[in-house]
Amino acid sequence: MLIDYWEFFISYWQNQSILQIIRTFWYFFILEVPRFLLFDFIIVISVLLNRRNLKSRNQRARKLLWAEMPLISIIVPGKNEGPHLFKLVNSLKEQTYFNYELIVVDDGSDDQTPLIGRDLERAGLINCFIRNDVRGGKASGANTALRYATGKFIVHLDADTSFDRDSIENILLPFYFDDQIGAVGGNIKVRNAEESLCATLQAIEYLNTISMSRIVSTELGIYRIISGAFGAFRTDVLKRLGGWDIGPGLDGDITVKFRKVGYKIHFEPSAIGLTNAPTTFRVLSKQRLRWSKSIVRFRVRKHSDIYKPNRSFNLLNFISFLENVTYDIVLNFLWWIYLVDIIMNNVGLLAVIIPLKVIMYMIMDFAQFGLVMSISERWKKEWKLIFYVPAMVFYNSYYMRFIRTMAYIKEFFFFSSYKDPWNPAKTSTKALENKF
Amino acid sequence: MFNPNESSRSSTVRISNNFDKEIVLINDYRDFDIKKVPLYDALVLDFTEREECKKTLRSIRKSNIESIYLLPIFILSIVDVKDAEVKELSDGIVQTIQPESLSAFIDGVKRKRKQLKPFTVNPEINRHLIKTLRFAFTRDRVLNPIKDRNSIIGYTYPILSLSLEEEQAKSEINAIEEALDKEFFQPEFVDRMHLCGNCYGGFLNYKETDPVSGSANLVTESLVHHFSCAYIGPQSDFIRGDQMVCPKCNKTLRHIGVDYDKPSVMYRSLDNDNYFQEPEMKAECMNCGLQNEIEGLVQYDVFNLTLTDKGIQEAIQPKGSQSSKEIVYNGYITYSTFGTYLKFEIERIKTANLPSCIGLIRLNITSQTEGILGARYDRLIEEISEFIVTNTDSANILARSINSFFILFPNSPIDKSEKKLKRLADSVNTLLNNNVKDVKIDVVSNHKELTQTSEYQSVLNDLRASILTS
Repeated sequence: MLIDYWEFFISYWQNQSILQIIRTFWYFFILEVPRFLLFDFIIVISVLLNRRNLKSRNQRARKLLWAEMPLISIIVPGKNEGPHLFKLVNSLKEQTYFNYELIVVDDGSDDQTPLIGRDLERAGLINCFIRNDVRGGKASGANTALRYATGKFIVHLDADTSFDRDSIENILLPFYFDDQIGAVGGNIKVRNAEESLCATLQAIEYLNTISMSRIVSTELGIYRIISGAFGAFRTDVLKRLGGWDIGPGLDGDITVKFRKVGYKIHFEPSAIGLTNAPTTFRVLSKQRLRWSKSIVRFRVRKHSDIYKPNRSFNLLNFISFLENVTYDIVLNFLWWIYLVDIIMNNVGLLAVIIPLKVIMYMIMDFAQFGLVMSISERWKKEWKLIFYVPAMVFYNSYYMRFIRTMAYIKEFFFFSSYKDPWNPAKTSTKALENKF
Repeated sequence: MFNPNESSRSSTVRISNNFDKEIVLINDYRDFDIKKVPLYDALVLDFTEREECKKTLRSIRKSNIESIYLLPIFILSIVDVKDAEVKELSDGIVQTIQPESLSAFIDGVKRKRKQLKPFTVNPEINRHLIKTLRFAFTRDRVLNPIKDRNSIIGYTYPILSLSLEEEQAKSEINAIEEALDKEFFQPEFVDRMHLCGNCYGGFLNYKETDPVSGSANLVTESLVHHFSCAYIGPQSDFIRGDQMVCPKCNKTLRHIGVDYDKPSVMYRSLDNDNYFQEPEMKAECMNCGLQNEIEGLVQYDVFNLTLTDKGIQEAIQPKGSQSSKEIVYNGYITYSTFGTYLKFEIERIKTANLPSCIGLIRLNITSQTEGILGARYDRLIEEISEFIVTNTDSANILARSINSFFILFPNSPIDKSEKKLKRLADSVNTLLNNNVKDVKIDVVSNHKELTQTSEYQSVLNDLRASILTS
C-alpha cells in the first residue's frame, strides 16, 4: 500500500508543470524562498568572499579600540538573578577586554539576590550593586544602571548569559568601524540545547532564523533588534534617548529609537553569548507570545510614524519596519489564507501536497543550516543538531505560526501586552494611558 | 563636735576626740605632706578648695604604700558633692566632723588591715589588683565604675585606674578580667561598651563611609521611578523649582504611588563622586585614630564589683606570694625568704645593736619600653642581674622582684652601704646607657637604715614606695 502511494505521489508530481507546482506552493516559492534562502545564500557568499576585507576592518577597529581602551559599563538588570551572578562575574573576569565597571541592578528580588549581590560587591567582583526594594520592571532596572554608568559604552546583559573570552571585545569593535554605529547586537546562542527537544529546536532556530536573519539584515542595513541578553550601546546616545521604555519588547524598542535618531545598528556575529532557552513548550509559548505581542505594540502602534512620509522619514527604517511587519504579521495571516486556499482547491490531493510541502521546507531548513555552519565558529559542536533539522518544519511552520497568530490577535484586539505580569501593573497601566 | 568654721589657719588641724585617734582635718593643701599620712588614723579633707582636695585625695589613693592608700579619708563639705570620683575614692562625705561616728569606720578599716598579710610582688601577682582588692576589703566596699570622660574607656574604677599609668585602659580591662576570671568579684551588670580594637578607647566616632575611598563626606538621595516612562534617577534629577518634573518625558509627577515611587536610596561620596547603596560603617577611635570595622570592636561589659570570699582571701593573702609560686633567680633568694632574713636581721640588731642597712635598685621599665625592647628585655635583665651578683660581697643578701633588686647589707654602716649602692647603681646605669641606645631606662636606688624599731614589712614597703614616688 505504501508502494502504491509512493508511485502515485511520484507520478502525480511528475505530471505537474513547474507553473502548476508554483501555483500550489506559491507561498513557499514567492515569499519564503527569496527571503529565507536566497538572501541568506547571497549574504553568506558575500561574507565568505569578503572575508579578507572584513578581517582587515576588524583588525583596524581592534587597534583603535585598544589604543583608546575606553571604560565601558556592563549593566545587568534583573529580578531573582542572584544564583546566576557568581557565574556571570567569573565569565566576565575571563574576558580579554578588562576595562569595565559592572553595575548590577536588583529589581525587587524576593530571593537571596540582595545578599549574593552585596557579597560580590564587597568582594570587589561587582563595582556597584543597586537594590530597588520595589519592583519597577526591566526598563526601570536598566535605566537605574544607566543613570550611574560612567563608561563610554553600555553593554547590557542578562545575568544568565555567559560569553566567549573575546565577546566583550568583539561587541565593541563595530563602534570603531563607523562613527554612526550607535548600537551593536551580540550573537546569542543556546547553551542548553541538550536539555530537551524544546531547547534543541530553539538552538537550531537561533542559528537558522535569528542569527542568520540578523547577519542578513545588518548587511542590508535593516537590522532592527538588539537582544537584551547581549547588546552594546553608545552611552551618550542612550542617555539622550532617556534609556529604555516600558516593555515587553524593550530591546526592539530601544533599537528603533537609535535608528530614528539616525544611528546605524550593527550585528556582530563574533560576539558570542550563550543563554539558557526554555526547556518546555509551555514556557516557550509564554515567551514567544510576549515577543510577538511586542511587534504589534512597538512596530505597529508606538513607532507608526516610521511609515509616514514626513520630514524625519528614513527609507531604511521604513524598509526595516515594512519587512518586519510584512514577514511577521501580514504573511503570518496570509499563511492561513494560503492554507485555506490549498484545502479549498485541492481537498482531494492534500495527501500528496502536504508531504511535498514538508519535504520542501525540510530541504530549505537543511540548506539554511548548511549556510549557517559554513560561517559558524563552533560548527564542530553544532553540526550534530542536523539530526533535528527535519523537526523544524513543524516547529516553525505550525507551532510558531500558531503562537504568533494568537499573540497578534490578543494584542490587536485586547492590548494584552499591557496586562502581562512580566511588568508590574503600575507601570503597564501608565504605559497604556500614555500610549508608550 | 568640731565645727570647721572655727578651724584655725594652719594647714592641718588635729581633731580632738575621745578615741585616741589621730584624725586630721586638712583645709589648706599647700603644705600637705603625703609622707606624714601614715602617722594619721584618718584624714578629713575640706572640699572648699575642690580641685586641691581632689588632687590630694587622688595622690593618697594613688600611693602604693598600704599605710597611705588604705587610710580612711572623709570629705568635709556642707554642699552636696556630685563628683563621682571623689565619692568613690573617699570613705564618705560629712557635713560636720563627729569623731564618734568616724571612729567605728576607722576601727573597722584598722581591723581589716591587720588581717592583711605581706606578699611578694612577682609576675604571678597583679599588684594593682591586690591594691584594689585590699581597698574594697578594708571598707566592705562595692566598687562602682564611674563615667569619666578623661578615661579612654569612658568608665573607670577610680582606685584601680589611679594605680595604672601607661596603657591605663588596657591594664584596667586586663585587671578586671583577671579578677572576674578568678572569681574575686561578683559582677553586677552596669553597661556594655564597645571599644577600639587597638587601644581600647571608648571615644569612638561612628560614621558611614564610602567603601571605595573611605570618605565620610556622603550625601544620600532617594531614587525616584517615574512609572510612565521608566526613567529612574535621584530625586534631584526631578526637581524643577518646587515641582517634580520627569527629565525624560517632561511630565509633572504629582502623586506618589500613582505617578512615581521611591524604590531605594543612593549614597554619593562628595569627595570622589562615587555612588553606592551600602556604606561601610566605621568606628574611628578618637584616641589612636584607628578606623575600626564594627565587627572589630572589643565588647566590654562594665560591672559593679562586690568582693567574693575568694576575693577576700586574695586580698588578705595573695596567692602569688606563696613560696611555691615564687620565681627563684640565680644568685638571689626569694622575696619572701628575703623578708624573713630581714626580720631576723632586725631581731639581731635589737640584741647586738649592730649597724645594718637595706638598699634597693630599680630599673624603671614601662610596659611600653618593654615592648620596644622585645626579646632583648629578658636578656638585658638577666645580664644586669648577673652583674649585681658579681659586684656585691658574698655577705650581702640579694633578692630580686622583676626589675627590683633588694640588697641587705648586714653589719654595714649606712654611709658605707650608701656608697656601695650608689656605685652599683651608677655602674648599672652606665651598662644600660652603653648597651641600650634606642630607649632611656632610668635606674633609681634608695636605701634605709635598719633600726631596733624597724618593722620588716613596713621597711620593705616604704623602700619600694620611696622608689616609686621618686
